[in-house]
Amino acid sequence: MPVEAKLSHTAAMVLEALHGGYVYGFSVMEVTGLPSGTVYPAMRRLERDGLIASKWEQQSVADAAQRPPRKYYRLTRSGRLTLDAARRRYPLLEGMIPQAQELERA
Amino acid sequence: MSDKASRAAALAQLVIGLASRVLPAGARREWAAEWNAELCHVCRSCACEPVRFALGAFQDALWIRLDRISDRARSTFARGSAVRCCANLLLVGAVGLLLCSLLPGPRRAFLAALAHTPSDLVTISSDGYDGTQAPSISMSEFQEWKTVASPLFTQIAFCRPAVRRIHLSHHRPVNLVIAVASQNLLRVLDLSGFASRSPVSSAGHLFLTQSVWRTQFHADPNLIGTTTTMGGNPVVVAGILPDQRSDLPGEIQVLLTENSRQLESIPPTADGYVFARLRPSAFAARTGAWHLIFEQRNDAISQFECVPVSYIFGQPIGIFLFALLAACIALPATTALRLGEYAERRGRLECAGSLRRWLFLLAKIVLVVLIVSSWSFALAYAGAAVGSAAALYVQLGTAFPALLFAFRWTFHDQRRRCPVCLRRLSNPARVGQPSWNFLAWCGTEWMCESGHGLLHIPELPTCWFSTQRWLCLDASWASLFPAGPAAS
Repeated sequence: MPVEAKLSHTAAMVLEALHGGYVYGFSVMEVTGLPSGTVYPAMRRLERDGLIASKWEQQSVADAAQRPPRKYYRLTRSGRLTLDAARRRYPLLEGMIPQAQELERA
Repeated sequence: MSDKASRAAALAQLVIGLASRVLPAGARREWAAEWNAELCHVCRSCACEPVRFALGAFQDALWIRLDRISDRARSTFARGSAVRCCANLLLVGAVGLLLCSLLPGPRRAFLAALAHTPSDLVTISSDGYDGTQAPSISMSEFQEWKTVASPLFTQIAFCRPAVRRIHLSHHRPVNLVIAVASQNLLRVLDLSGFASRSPVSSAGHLFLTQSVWRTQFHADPNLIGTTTTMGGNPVVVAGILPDQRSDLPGEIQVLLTENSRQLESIPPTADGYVFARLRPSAFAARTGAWHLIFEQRNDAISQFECVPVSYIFGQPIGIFLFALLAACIALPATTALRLGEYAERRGRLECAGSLRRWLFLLAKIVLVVLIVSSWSFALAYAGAAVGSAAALYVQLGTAFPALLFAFRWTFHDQRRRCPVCLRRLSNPARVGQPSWNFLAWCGTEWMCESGHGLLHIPELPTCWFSTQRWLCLDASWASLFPAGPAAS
């Protein structure tokens, strides 16, 4: 996808959330306030367009935590470039999503 | 976890399971694993209702399903794909067929070719007129030799078309082509079953064609049996005739059958059409058109031409088949029929792929024949009647070059397609120079956009490289072709 691609506000929020360290679907839902029926299709579309990539958690890690393995998402290089373009388009976007590390410290 | 929370989690799992049914079977497992893992965290966090969370799975599954369908549709109808090629040909053929069904001339030609015509029914015309092109036998000639010809024919009928004004019941008066005919014409044409009233000697009987009945008289069922006057004589509407049989000579819209006494009012010099039924003994010996010679009372010789009506109606199809045969014979003189060598792919192409290529070629041939037949019919008979020589020449003149061009294109197109995905090859590149021809290969290289292989076409065919060759690319080339997978 070209860097100049225009994202919808929802997709830009999802990208910003992933960039902020919220790396799985439910955490993106929590931080953006968007419903599951919006967040997951948006993430599928972003993954299809090569802006984000997903990876399954190792089974041993999930077993140790006594839960099923999760699917984690991260921004790709073109995703970061697209996010920069989206931030210029939506200037308030950066302030809407707190960084995950900051939240943990608080 | 409380009972209520457990029940909500179980219900949410059930919802996710139901939503997964929307997805294709191969994608369900991983998708459901992600949603169930997320559900586990939703249940632990208590920040969201599990069932409300799970209901979003339907939207997610639906999005994936629709995305896959549009992906498949994009690749199926991609530029140069086989499906798109067939769809385009089908569209052109459908437009041709639509024209044939909408235009009255081509529709009549089609219906006449399909209709069952008695094989012993002939049309008799003056020498040189050939069939039903124009009325050519005068009333006096007909009266003179109809008795002389009785050993050859069981029945002979005369009809003379003319434009006349007709006023039926409460409908407005209209000008129609009305054929005044002898009373036995319906029997000769095998149409007596369509007469709904028994003949009354005192009145003429009027038979409307189905199309005139529908268009001019709004398919009025009360019209049958109504009486009117024509030329001062009473006539009664006696029936409706089917379109594909009633338009035998020219553009006749209404038949008016009259008894022999009324028929005498026709001027002796007025020309008309003559139809007859051959005696079985004569019929056995007659096939195709033949000449009839009569010696008149004044020792003069009259020549007539007898043409079976089934022969006239079969001419459009016969001419097209002739054009098809001629095009097939001429084709090798205009293009090479070899489709190239495809033997380099791991020994030989898979049977399924090869079958697909041949089926595609066959589909293209069938579709171009359909296109040319429908368009040549539409062009030839748009302004001419069945049996006219001009229409036959136009049909032959359009069908033969069009079929030749279409077959040539079909083979050329087949040679420029990838044998694996059947898409058109692209990015032609010249390789080598003609002066190298005796030392190295020289020609054009075409490439499959999906990375299935390269096609090499020699510029100067040699004994070691006489025809085009297909070179398969293995999976190691995949990174160069983002459009699709490498050789499958």
